Amino acid sequence: MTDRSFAQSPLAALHIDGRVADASANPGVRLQERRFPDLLNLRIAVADHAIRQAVGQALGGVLPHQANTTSEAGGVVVCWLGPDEWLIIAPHGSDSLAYQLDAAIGGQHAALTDISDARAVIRLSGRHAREVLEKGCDLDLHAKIFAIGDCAQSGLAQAAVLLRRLADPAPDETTWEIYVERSFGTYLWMWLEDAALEYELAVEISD
Amino acid sequence: MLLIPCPWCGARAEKEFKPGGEAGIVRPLDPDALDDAAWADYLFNRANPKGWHRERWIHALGCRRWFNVERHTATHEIRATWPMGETSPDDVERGK
Repeated sequence: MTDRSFAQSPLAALHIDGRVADASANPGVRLQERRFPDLLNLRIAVADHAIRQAVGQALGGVLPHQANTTSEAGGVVVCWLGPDEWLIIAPHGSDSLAYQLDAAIGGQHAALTDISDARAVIRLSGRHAREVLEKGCDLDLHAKIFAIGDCAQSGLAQAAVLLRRLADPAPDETTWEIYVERSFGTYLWMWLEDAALEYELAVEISD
Repeated sequence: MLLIPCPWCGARAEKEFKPGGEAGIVRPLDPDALDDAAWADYLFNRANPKGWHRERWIHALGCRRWFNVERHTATHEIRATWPMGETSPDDVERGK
């Protein structure tokens, strides 16, 4: 939860915002950086149902217990990462969230880690977004298998990523968010641009 | 490429995993009481069968959890996977 005046995009070297004007007129793929979301990694032992419930309530819902799914309440998304691990994604400036969760944990055995500055977040959407991902990812990304609201950790073009599917912006389009370790951000963006070339690319102003 | 059913994430491609050798090797409770041969046997000697083999794998690019796999070393068929600390489905059936 960095002070925004000190925050530097992990993709700063690419000068993405200067590329917006180059957008194709009818892009099949749109790429955008999601800047500075607040990210918290949460770990609670598998058997600790009471703490899970308390933290779930503090988040305004429940922690997703089904593998590779997310839950959402009040603009805060919780992704399942493992049987005892979750990623909490909140809008920038959700400074009080960590304190609320800390209070819900109440000194019991759990781990809450701020990893906001450790990830680059890339949003990929458009008619051909799925085809771009399929060039570097072994997961079955078909809509019947990978539904809206699902998430999965896997490999994408040699990088370890968390992939999350968002609501479709149009009937024939899909939207994905890719969470990747910060130092892989530039590489992965360049790989995505290269993979998207044949579908006509538009870089959108960072969110 | 193998398709390995992670007990948590479901079937995933082999390149998301890393193998960790034979499963179920118990560390001696009192290493000082062992002679060199017994200690070396614990450290280095593995079954290496041609047939069914219980081994450990980690889902490195997924949930990052270790788990057990029962795999046929000749055909690569995977009969069962189960989380660490739990009894294999086979042993449950046999009442072990």
